Amino acid sequence: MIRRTILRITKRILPNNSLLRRVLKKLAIRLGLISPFYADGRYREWVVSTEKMFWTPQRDLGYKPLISIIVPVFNAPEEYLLEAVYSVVNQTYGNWELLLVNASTLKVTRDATASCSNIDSRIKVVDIHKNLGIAGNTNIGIKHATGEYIALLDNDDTLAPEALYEVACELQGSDKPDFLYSDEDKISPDSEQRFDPHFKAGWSLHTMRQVNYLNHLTVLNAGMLKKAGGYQPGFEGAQDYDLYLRVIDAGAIVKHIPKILYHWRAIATSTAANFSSKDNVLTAGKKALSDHLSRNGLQGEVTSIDNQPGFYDITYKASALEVAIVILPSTDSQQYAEYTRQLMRLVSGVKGVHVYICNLKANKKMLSMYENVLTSVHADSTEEYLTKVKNVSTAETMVFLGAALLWNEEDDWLERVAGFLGQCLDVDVVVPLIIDELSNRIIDAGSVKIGATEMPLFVGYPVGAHTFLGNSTWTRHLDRCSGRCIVVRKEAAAKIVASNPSSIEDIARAVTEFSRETILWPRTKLNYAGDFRTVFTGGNDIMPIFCFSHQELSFDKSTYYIPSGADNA
Amino acid sequence: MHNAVRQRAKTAFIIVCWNNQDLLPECLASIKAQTNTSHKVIIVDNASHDASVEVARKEMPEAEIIEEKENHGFAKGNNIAIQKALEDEEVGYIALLNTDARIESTWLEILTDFCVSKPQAACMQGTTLDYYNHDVIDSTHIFISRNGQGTQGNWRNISQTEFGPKKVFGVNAAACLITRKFIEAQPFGTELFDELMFMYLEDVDLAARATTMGWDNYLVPGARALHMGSASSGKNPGFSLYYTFRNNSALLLKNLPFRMVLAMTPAILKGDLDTIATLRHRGQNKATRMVIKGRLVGLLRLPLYWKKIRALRRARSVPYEYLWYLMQRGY
Repeated sequence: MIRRTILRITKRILPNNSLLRRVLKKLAIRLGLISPFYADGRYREWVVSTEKMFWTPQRDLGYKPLISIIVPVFNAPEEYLLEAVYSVVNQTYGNWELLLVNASTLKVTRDATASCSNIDSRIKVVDIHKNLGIAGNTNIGIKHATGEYIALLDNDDTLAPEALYEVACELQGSDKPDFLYSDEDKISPDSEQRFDPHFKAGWSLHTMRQVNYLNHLTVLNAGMLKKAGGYQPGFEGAQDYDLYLRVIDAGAIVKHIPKILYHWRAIATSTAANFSSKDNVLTAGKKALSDHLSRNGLQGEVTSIDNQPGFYDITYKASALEVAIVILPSTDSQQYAEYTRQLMRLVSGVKGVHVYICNLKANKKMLSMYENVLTSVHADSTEEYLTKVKNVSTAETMVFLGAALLWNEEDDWLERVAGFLGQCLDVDVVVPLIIDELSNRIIDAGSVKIGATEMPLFVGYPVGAHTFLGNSTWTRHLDRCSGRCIVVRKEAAAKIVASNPSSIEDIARAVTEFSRETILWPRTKLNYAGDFRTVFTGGNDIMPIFCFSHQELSFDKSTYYIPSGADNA
Repeated sequence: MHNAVRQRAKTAFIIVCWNNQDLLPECLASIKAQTNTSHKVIIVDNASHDASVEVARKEMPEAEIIEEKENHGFAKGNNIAIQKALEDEEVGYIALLNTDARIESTWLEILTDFCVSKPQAACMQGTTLDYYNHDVIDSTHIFISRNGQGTQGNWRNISQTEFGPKKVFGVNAAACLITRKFIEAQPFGTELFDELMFMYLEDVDLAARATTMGWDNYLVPGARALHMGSASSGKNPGFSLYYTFRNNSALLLKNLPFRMVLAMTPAILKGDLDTIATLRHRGQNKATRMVIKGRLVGLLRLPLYWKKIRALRRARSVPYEYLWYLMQRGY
């Protein structure tokens, strides 16, 4: 409360961004009165209540593989390097080896790294006299690694003390994963604050094709990594992305560890605090992704998204477009007619699109104007309507639209989504993002299962918001959709229609039952023409996961993710 | 003999005793029960006027007993015994044990196994639990808190199943293991504890010295010990407060960088005032006088430490920022 009053007073006396304000702010940071990083109190509370720094329980593990941790050291500030090394020394799992690849040019860092070998006998220092870049240095570390698994650690980041133990837990059992990744968060330069966690989704190749969300902490099977050749030259800036895609294409089994095991140091020179969109980084990422697509026999063009470095967009090549848009019936016939008119204006020019509507008795003029592309089906119930449409239509892709969603005129999303479904044969249903254009907030992004509950994603958040679950514009696997708008492949559409859905909820249920894979595709944003206040009650109707209150500690994300039996592409 | 010298695997248990005849038998019994039998015991008797020496001789005839003519205090008593212990070439570890501390049978084994792979290890302790309630921790480590006061880590917390040794700022000298390499690397001879500090805070001083010199102190949770806490001097709280505050300024200025002490000064003053306020609230007005007297006398005694401050400044090798991290959290 005192803080709030002080803030109010300062806002009045010191206008925003004035010189005096900036100088005083710097002074206050120096004196330690305020923190230079925004640390969300809710996450901090959650950390304090869930983390057991001293008392991490362990069970006896039957299989204890040697895990090699490779740290390429290049002019790291001494205190960060020591923190990194001691975070490995403090691991509760004992069977590790730490390889410090000493490529530093500053004498202080070289000596500090060399003296680290005195800390523990499991620490080895590999001296190299020429800095080959982070990729080359890590490759040398890989060459010297003797462990069965290799973990990568940056020279200024830290591991949670139970990190290797959690990794080893996943390696018990007969089907050992080759590629493990965990959740991560950021740590401030003074190691006091932890903020900006990233609770990652389970393994989904489609998300990986948009962004390298695996990031840290990754543990790879040493044999597979060495066979893949380690980092390749020519991908500077996106070398991790290229490596992970190559290892995944070589057939690695990917497993997610839903625990925060890695703390990424946020300093000005690292990418955590300041991701600058250098050109070579973008080109390298695009090249890595296009190589991946060609390795998998997919045809598509990779572009990078303008003000979002690290995020890519693939335009899959579509064969001839054959889309049937089925507008679900609505009680308000005048609104229905108006909506149909608006929709026809958008799609009438697009070749290969056919629109089906139900019972539009009025406006014969419209029916005659769009004779070839618009068909009115007479039916008494939604089930009958859908069955009749399915019998008539032979389109490859079907779009089931609730009567309140529209898209932008310039958007060629129908071709793009048809291309996506045409090339990625494992996906059955694509769900576009539904937003409110005026406030630019997300209304519907599908929902996922968290534990036993179902949680709608990102409702009320601004489009493009960066959340604890990642960015809201990432392509994601969904457990459930709301059924307001789905794009379905014809085989799955047949199954959905055969289940006789009579409402949007029935369609949603059918999708959950019959779809092999449901993908959220936020590249396309449909505008919700209705009143968004009926969707969420305005104000603070924000998603429950952002309440890291003590009651929410059962934040078990195990069913958010693709079940373990699914394939990898 | 040659192999033993190279390995130096023997441990010398050092017990400083002052009128503790009732506590000695259990303490010595816990040493006798150790699974690692490669040890010897040295007992320093600081001129006790009860039957401590006789009890010790009866309980453990093979122990070496050094009878001092006057009470030298904890620091000097330990230093004398350590000098004696290091004369034996086989001794590679010194284990300090308070008379009111008892160790579990695997204590020595776990700690000696641990430091084999750690060339830079200085002091180690296990989890020291409260003697009267085995679920409550007496200390897992010690550190200097933000207001400059030596603090026992996790004091009075409930003990849970713990794993994972960790590097800590320092260890509690009630039950700890110190490597010979560290003692021999001291900047002024092998005087391990600072004898100018008669009692109290010498273990914090040792911890700070080890950490700033770049050595590692570890907590190894599997090795358990039980500690009663302040058995010798707990009867007189004024006494302990006086010595604590007297040694505090010296402790900080000896080991920590000057600008760090300067940055801590407001918090130190606030801590002193808080201590006085708490004591007055509890009605111990005489103790307040002890706190103030201790602080002032401590500041006046600083010139005595001048040579040591200079030597330690030269020996300091840990980066300033990393020292702050360890100080803030203790581990």
